[in-house]
Amino acid sequence: MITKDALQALLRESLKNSPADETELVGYVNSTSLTRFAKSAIHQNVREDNSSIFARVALGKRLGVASTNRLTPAAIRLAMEKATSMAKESPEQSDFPGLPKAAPAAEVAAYSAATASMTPDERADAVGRAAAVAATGGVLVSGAYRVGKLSMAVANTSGTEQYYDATDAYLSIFATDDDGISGSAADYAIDVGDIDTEALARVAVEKCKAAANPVGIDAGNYDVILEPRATGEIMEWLNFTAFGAKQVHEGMSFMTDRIGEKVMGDLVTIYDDGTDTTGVPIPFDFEGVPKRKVTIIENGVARGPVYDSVTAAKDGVESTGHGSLSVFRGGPGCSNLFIAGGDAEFDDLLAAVKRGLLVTRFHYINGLLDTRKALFTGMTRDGTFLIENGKITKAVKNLRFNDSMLRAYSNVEAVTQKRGVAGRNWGGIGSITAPSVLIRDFKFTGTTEF
Amino acid sequence: MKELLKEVVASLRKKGVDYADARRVRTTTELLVMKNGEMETGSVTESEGFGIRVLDGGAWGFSSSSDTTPGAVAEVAEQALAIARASGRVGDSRVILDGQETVVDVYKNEVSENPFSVPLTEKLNILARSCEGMSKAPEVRFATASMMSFRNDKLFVNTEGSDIEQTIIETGGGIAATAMEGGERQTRSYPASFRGDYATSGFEFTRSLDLPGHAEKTGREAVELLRADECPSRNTTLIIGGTQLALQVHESCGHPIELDRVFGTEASYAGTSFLGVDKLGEFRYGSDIVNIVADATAPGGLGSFGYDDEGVPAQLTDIVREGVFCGYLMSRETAPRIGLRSNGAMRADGWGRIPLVRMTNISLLPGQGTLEDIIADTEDGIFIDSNKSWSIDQQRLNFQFGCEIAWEIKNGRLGRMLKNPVYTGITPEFWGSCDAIAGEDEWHIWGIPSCGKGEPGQTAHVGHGTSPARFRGVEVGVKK
Repeated sequence: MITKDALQALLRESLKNSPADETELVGYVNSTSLTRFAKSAIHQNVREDNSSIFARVALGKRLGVASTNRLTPAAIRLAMEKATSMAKESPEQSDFPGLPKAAPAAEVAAYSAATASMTPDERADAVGRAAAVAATGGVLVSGAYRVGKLSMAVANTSGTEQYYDATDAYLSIFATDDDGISGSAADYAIDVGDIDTEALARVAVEKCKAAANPVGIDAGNYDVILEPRATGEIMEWLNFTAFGAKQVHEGMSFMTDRIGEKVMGDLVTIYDDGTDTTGVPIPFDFEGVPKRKVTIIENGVARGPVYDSVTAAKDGVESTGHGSLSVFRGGPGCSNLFIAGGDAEFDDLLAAVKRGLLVTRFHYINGLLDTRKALFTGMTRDGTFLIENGKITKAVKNLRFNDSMLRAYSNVEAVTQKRGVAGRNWGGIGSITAPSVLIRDFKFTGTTEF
Repeated sequence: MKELLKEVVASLRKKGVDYADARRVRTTTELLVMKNGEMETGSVTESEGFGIRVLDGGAWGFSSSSDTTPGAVAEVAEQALAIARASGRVGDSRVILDGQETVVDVYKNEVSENPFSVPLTEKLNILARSCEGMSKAPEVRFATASMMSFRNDKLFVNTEGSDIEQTIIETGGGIAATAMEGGERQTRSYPASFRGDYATSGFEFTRSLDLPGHAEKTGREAVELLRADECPSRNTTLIIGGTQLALQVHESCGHPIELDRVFGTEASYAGTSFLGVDKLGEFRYGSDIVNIVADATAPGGLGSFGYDDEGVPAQLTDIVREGVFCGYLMSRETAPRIGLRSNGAMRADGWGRIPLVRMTNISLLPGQGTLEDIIADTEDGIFIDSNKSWSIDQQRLNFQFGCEIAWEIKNGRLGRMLKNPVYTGITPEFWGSCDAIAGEDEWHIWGIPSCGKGEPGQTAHVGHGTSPARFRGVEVGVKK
């Protein structure tokens, strides 16, 4: 991969040749390797090395974007010219405040040499160890082991220059028995050394065995314990529909006209922190603006969204460093989400449930039913259990929920101190760190056959 | 580049690999999004690279790079071979590919008007007039118009001597009006929600959508939705319009017939399928009038091409015939496991991703009569269209869809407009309740440019031919 000095010099020199009033260049150089396995055998094993340059130019308030994946001065110049041609013909973006000025970003430790150098043989050996754990339990494993390294640089004609190196590693293990019953576990980290393959495999196998012989139960309202991945999956959709300033401005977010109001329970605090190494940190956004810690929900009160430079200018505030890549039309969003832990142990949550459900994770959540009410639907998967009198008594067949996440998270009665870290389902580096939560009266509306 | 790829494939063959192929892909995508007459996004993205896939000792390896220099090509080939050998270290299953004819061919889809040659000002003018039309209703706060154009140039060579060049051009667009009043927000779109409608075609397809001509009605309906009654919760007869039925086919038929899902290779991520191989040729998927095909040869379909990314020719396959499940989407690896040959459904998202079993054009064949006839024949029910939300379990049985709009049907006539309609069901029960499908005049292949699958994530462009259809005894309004 290109060195830091070479990448930064390439962007710096290219900016001198831009025909536009203002120009921003984002260099995104990545190498990703992924080993997928099913039924305890590797069926897909891939590597991708790519280097992209995204050019955003402004002629006054007229903007254009173009990209290339050739790391040459000529290719970058051509991309800037194409972006400029686009800008010349385009109507203005009246909210465009100009490109962000230079500001220093925090130094974060997000790179692991062990992750960057992990070989296909090492990943295969890890899969072999997971398969061996599964074999002792009489089941098979599926899943994916992904390692990636990324160098990102941002430079603009207003003096911004940022650079960041990161690695991430993700392992998901999914155990299945002869009847197709499944249990799963996953972990996400900067350093592959922090991922314990055998421990994850044991959790997946135990979940799978506990999930055997599920019984059907009626849909209805249940007290529910959501494990960290289930909470993280809900947060990912809330991020998409509500946590960015664009969603607030466009009346899509549940926070529109409700900032300062109590929207969730006292125990719910949600924040984004790009410098916290509990997850996988990202110190600046795609505009090169340093990330600030932003508290979105504080003890149930809506405090406000995350901003990029355009939405911040509209509200007369400063960008919080949450701008997305210019080639996409999306507004600002969170990439390092945290749900604050509480003071409970997992067993305290169990003990507080007379009759309810334990949900390992969800499948195919959709949060577009009514975004103002945060009305979501989705299915459970990979281990759903009945809790009776504080104890897990049996596995149950999967259920569909339909509920307002404002109503549900207003009914949070306990939160564990311990939190889990998950990668973002929708790709990109970054993470969601979430505890297990006990929610009273969660609404399940349908069932399925397995 | 082709000679370079041929050389590297020949060198892998000399090393004794079971099989290898190499693909060079160059993509150009233009995205134009206008909101309230202002530019939201105007971008041109270009990407070029190659990927080499090696089968060695019955195990797969794949490596890819944007660096197309001769040294990089040789290095990537070595990486792919090393990865294949690592794959072989775990498990004792060995991949066997079906036999296919060697193909040497050049394919281009039919294009009358190259979208990249149409002046930008002309495209922006279409978008601006669309925004203006939607904004005539003052309650419309956000009028969004967008269009996309894609060009995909692909080279494919393999150790069996195939040598295929393809150029595929796709275009399309859509509009959406969002009206707001008193804290409520309703969106109405045309011709379909989420980016509109797309086809393998030149700009003539985008023109044919006549986005400005439909803008005013779209804006008006968004406002009417604000004042419409909530869709009631009840078990009723449901008539589903073409755009929503396209997504219904996509989720409840398209994904579960992917044979790699059936064999469990997507189990840990997107899930498996209720359509196990024991059901092939036996299972009653729907009523007698339900006929579904996978057709990669359909002119203009967004899932149409000359050859898939294993070099297998585009084909037409029966999936459901007179209600009985009878076919899968297959690859050269999966088809032999059930005694068949690939039907050309392996598709990769660009140069850096491995081909997976993907949808082509999965279409519900037309029946008879018109939507008007079906409504006239319905005493009591609901007509619903334009997707708003989607969710389905990991075996593709329990589904729930929300739509933008519905109308009550009473005594064979459309009545009051209803908002926030949602319906749910179990796939085979639902298709088993289908008792009317409109005819060819209202049949259209809807292009969806955003089908997700796989790890690392891949996006495929797929099509679904549908005409409006009627279903009995459907649960509506479950979100209450």
